[in-house]
Amino acid sequence: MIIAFVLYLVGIAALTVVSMRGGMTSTSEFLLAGRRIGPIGTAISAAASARSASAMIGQAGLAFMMGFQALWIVFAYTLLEYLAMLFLMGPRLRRFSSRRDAITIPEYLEARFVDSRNMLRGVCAILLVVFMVAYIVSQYVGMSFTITQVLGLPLVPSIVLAAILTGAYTTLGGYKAVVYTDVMQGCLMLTAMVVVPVLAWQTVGGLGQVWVRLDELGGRDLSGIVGSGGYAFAFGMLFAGLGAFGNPHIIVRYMAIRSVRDFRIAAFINLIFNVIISWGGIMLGLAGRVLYQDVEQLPLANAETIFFHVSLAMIPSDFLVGILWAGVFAAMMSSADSMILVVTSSVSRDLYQKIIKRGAEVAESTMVRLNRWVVVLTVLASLVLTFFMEKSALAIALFAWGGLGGALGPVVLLSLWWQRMTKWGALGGLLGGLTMAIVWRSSEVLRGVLVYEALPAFAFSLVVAITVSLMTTPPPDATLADDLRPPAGEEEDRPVQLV
Amino acid sequence: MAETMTEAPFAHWLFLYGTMILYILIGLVGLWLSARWRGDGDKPRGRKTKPPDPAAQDFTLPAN
Repeated sequence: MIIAFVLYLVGIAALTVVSMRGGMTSTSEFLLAGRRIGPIGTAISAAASARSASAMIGQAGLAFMMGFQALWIVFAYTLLEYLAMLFLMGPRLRRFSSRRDAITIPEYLEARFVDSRNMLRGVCAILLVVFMVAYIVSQYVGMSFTITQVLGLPLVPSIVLAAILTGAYTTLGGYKAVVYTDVMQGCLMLTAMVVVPVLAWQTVGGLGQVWVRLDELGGRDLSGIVGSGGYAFAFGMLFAGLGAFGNPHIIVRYMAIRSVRDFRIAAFINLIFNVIISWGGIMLGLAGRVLYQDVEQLPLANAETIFFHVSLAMIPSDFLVGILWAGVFAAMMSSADSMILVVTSSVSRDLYQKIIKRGAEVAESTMVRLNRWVVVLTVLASLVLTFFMEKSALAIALFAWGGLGGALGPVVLLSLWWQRMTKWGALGGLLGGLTMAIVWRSSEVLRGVLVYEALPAFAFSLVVAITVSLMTTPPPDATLADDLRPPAGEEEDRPVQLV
Repeated sequence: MAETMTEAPFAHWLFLYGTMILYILIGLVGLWLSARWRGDGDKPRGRKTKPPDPAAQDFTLPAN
């Protein structure tokens, strides 16, 4: 098992070296690989970054506890991420950001609304730093758990090792290293979420046996398509998908893709990847509940250990188990490295270069060095916070997904499709969505109505953004329409007549 | 008692496998549809624009 893990780390190191060929001469090169990433890299990197421990082991754990109704949670984000990449966000964001030389999400917002006071950039950058650091903490907690299982290290050295690993290749290779390693890690994730669920599913005897046994164990709450919470609970789970629009470590990939045309293939690959990972996780959890009837039978009485427990029980080869566990580790690493880059871009490009050093010329070589130092500092800060926030890592990750999805998602989406939107509307949407997410999460009464804050935050952000935009005047922007849409005469966004 | 093959309700089959197949189909349809959209600088498929025929426009007045 350790040999497999070491091989995985050697692979990471090799890809980092490859990514550094050609040097790193600019911020655009460090943060977006010079917008030269093809469709396969974009697709797998986006999916691998989006699917962290929550997909690999969290969803399996959810299915273990909730039965068939856990599947509701995957429907929305799988479809929405696909639509966001193919149509709703990808092409327009790529086109606009390259024409106006925006290489970060806050920079895109500033360029979109011609915000000369950097207000939107500053607010958005701070929002991203806070949420992304919290997200990174949750990934480090998950990674350290895997390390303790594989290498047998105690928790503290495991957390430190996780931080060093992600920090090292992100510092050296920037976005290109992140994408290259994400592709390798994505392949490992796919392997893990095909092999283990298929083995478990065959062992228990297929869908029929799973249904019968879950019905015996827990009645409708486990075997039903909807449990005792009814369709209201099921639809509530759907709204978790709204996070797909607002998570910067996913949507920044739309800005880095080589060409708008590449979204067609990228979106399809991304969808297939997500379907395999997500459905595989659910099926693993269902089969796991049949195999181990009670969560008390699992290590640490934690349903999220089902992946590790089933793979150990069913696969005789320690080396193969090590490869599969590396897949879980890879899921978290691929998410953490992308989040680290988002924090880096927000701090170095948005806050430092464009706000603090506004108007001053900062050499590209200085910026590349600064980017690397910010990566190191981000990793260190996240590491320290991990020791304090370890117990609430999952809750933090859920809030970050819903909070960002509710605050940033509607603003970016609306900005790409509604030219009447103003910077005050964007600011209102950001702050309104964030406020609603915090209020909703803090209130037990509101969470009793709808358990996840993503929908109310999303809806409130939209309402505020639209209302405030209609009450304010957008600055004149002669080329806005052209920079959002394809050049005149080319109907990229409208489908051709089929007959 | 002889063991019999247990069949899950069709609804469950649809819910688990049917949705997986549906999403893959959505992806294939999206791939096909988006291939027919015009990209940056690309001509649409099946809608070839022919350059104007110079001969059709070239007419000379009959000599009086």
